[in-house]
Amino acid sequence: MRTVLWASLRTHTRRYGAALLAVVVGSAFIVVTAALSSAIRDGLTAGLGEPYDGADAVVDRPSPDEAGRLLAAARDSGADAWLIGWTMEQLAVDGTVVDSDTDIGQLPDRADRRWQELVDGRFAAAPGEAVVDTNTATVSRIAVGDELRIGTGADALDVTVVGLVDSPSTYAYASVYLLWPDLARWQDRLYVTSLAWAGPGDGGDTAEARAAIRAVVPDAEVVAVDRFVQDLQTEVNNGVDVVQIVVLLFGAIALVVAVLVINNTFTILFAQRSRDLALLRCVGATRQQVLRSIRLESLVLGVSSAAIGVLAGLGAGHGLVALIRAQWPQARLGQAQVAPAWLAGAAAVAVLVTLVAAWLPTRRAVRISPLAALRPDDSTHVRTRTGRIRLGLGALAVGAGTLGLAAAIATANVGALAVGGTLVFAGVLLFGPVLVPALIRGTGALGNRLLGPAGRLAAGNAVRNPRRTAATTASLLIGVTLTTAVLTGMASSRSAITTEMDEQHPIDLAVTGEGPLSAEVVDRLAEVDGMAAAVPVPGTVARVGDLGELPVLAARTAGASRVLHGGLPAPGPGQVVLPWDLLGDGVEAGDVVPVAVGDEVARLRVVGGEGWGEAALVGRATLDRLAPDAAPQAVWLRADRDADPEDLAGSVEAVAEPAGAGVENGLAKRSYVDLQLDVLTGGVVGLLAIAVAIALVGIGNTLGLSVLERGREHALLRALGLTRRQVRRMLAAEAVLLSVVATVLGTALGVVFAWSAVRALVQPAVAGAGLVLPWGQLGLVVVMSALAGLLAAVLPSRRASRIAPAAGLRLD
Amino acid sequence: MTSLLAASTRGLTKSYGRGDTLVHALRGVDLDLPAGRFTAIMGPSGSGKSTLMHCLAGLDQPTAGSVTVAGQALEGMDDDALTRFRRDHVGFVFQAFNLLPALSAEQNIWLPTELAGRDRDADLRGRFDGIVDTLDLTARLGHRPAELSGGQQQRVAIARALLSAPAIVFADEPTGNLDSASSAEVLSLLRQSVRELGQTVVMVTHETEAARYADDIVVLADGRITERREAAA
Repeated sequence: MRTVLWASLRTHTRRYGAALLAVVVGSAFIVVTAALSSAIRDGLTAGLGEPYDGADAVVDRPSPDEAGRLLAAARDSGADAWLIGWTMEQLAVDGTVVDSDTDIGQLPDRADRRWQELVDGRFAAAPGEAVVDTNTATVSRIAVGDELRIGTGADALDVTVVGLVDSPSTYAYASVYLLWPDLARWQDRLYVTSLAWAGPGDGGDTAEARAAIRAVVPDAEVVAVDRFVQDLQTEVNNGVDVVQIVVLLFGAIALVVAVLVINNTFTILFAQRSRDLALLRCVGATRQQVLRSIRLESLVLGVSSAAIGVLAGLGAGHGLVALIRAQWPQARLGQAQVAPAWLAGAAAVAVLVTLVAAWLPTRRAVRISPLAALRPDDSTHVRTRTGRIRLGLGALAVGAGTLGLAAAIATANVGALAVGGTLVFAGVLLFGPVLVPALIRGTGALGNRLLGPAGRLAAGNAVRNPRRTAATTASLLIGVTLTTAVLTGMASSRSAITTEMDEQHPIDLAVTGEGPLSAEVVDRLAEVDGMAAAVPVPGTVARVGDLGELPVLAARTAGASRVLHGGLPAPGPGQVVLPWDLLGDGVEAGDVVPVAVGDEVARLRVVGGEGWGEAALVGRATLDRLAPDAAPQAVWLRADRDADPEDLAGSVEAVAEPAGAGVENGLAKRSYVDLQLDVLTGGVVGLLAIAVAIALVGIGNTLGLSVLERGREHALLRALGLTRRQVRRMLAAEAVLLSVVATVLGTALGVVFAWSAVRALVQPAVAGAGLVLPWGQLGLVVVMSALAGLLAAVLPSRRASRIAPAAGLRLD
Repeated sequence: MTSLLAASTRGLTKSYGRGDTLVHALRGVDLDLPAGRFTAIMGPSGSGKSTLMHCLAGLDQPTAGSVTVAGQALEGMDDDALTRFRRDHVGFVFQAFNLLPALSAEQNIWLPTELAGRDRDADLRGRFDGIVDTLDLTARLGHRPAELSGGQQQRVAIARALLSAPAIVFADEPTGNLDSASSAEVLSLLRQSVRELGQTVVMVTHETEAARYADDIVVLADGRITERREAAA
């Protein structure tokens, strides 16, 4: 059979082309993922230990207060300590706000403790000097000598940039580094990951360091440097592993779609070769011989597509990493290094996928009776009837799946959700040969007038082989269902998250003064470009317990509803609401503290909250008692819907700063979250697009193969009077019908799954979260798939219309 | 006194379908096909002549009765055994679509022997050369079926059928698609193989012109043999 094997490989490879492409894409995906994740891993773990070089011990996650105490203790005892952590503050360069949230970290005092590498200028030598990360400098256009203003309001700091640095460790990275005396003013807002301690003299001892540290902070978590760095590396690696697995999941989806496409292709091809196979059987090839031969064919195809896929993946992966490193150095990607195990794995997967996909079609192909070779009729009419077993299984799967989804909703269980969803989907696939043709006929009937005779023929063609039609649409169904489920789920989650964010950051911009704000300031703030409303808030300045002097504002102010996105806490007559940031050391929620304005003292119970800036909120009555004629102490602002957060912050700061007021920017935080959601949605849909692309290639492929099959028929139609254009239109209509039906069905399924997921996962977390249908996006998906169907039909329809009627009608 | 029998059937019956659609293609056919002769099986469409050939060739299982070819009884043979039997003892020439389009003429001719895994020893090569020469195919060996005329394709099919020196060659309407010149050529080649190589050829045909080349004529109607005679010389 070797002759037959090589001959058919040579002849038929072109027809397998599209199916092979699917496998190549799938295996290349795996290799690219491996390349990217190895580069990410390399970049993240590089230099992880450098900040701790020279330390004797590391304190794991000290509180900001503990860190402050340890730094002071180190200085007093002649030891050395430096922290790895940062605070997020607003950054303005030469008067212009460039970022509302920049990470500001510490530059260790001693030169030999500094892990930052000097790129330009010099290191900071005294308070008032700062060094800036070189990537930040490039992006925000900061040069040595520039004046920076960090933070806002009373705690704002003016520094001069004296140097540019680069951090070898992605983990210990900050955009701006200050010496501790400067950084300490934001001590309360610091997030400290770790603190390094080096005992006096050289070659210190971990035990000594631990003792010294514990003397200051008795319950500090002290770890040896080596172990700490190792744990850190493990943590980073685990993080990358998780992301890797998630991305590979999408690769798996693409491969599942590829299996469907290949299966369909093989089925069609073998149907077309049935006469050849029957002749072989006639002439003396046993079933085994034929089976082995076509299985070998699929093996050869699998191996070659694996080789191509792996090579393509290596090229694309390395290329992509090189591109990112060149264009976006701040992404800090390391070197790509794809382990041979990954290459072998990707190749094995490709071969396995091809063999699995070809298994059933090859089995079916061999069942052909030799008698089939003797019939002069060369059309391959395969009229299949959907077995009752298949329908029964389908009903069972849908039923069980629905129960699973209901259970998931009741118990908020992700596992039940996944299982239920998969079962329902599998059930729909099993129902496919009945469901899809019915939908096509229905859709065809709807568009009857539009389509004309060509279209009516198309609808008839599409349904005459139900199994094949269902198989063709199945691949697209997966991609579309997942995409619409993701889009709908994201839209629903987004609205739930937006509600949450509104509660957490109810004020776009809150300008709080150290003293009363003049009417002029209030007016100028209201007139800022992009401002929708401004509400002055009456208040005063009071001494609050141990916290010193704080602005005190009236929570319920006339007109506040114009400005607030969510509700502010309403302090009762005996309460004062303080920002969480200020609580913790000495003053706790529930304490009763004295709030004094001059000689008037009110003893109020502390409640925690956030979202209006660094001020205390009291009831109107309390304020009236403390300061009877309170002038506006703060202004709460609401931005226009499409205002730019950065520009707005800059303009507001320009007004607030000369007035000695601080700005709390809730708008920036909300738009950051929005950005994250957009990126996530875009990323997921992009990954799914690969699976969808494979499916569309599959549809084009099926159409092309059926055209080959129906050559005689098309010739007959042309002879009977169908013009070339009508033949093209017929095939285009077929492709569009298939795509649109698959998309509509997939959209319906996707919405159902999204609804279940929202009910099961989001509603328990965010009460009142509902299903939000992104009509625009869903409509776009349907339109795009119709267009893609049209595109898929272009080549096959060209070929079909070119058949000369006489040539096609000749008996072989 | 009876010459060797290439094939024979006893009480051969074949029915299709059920109930309303029940069709009796063959009704208890008894037939002896002597070796070394050219037999033509004739009859109108629906007479069962193709079905008779299928059963004789082991391509179809009879509903009742027995078939013996080259001394071997075919009933009770499973699919694999029948396939191997066909490979070694039966040659085929069909009306159309005889050849695998992906293979060259030469590869098509070697196909049954390759399937049987037979060595291409000197004897077999000699036979190949002889047959190809007689059928005037030497110049066409490297061509694909698409590059051959109808008559040439049938000649390649005959060559394939003769190469393994089968006990019996079945030809199903071999001239159905050919013009009169090519038909004459093919039929005389078949007769030549009987005369010169001692081959047994059984041809199903509805053309009386074609039947003239045969030695014996068997006529079927409604699944029964109605006539058996020697052809007029």
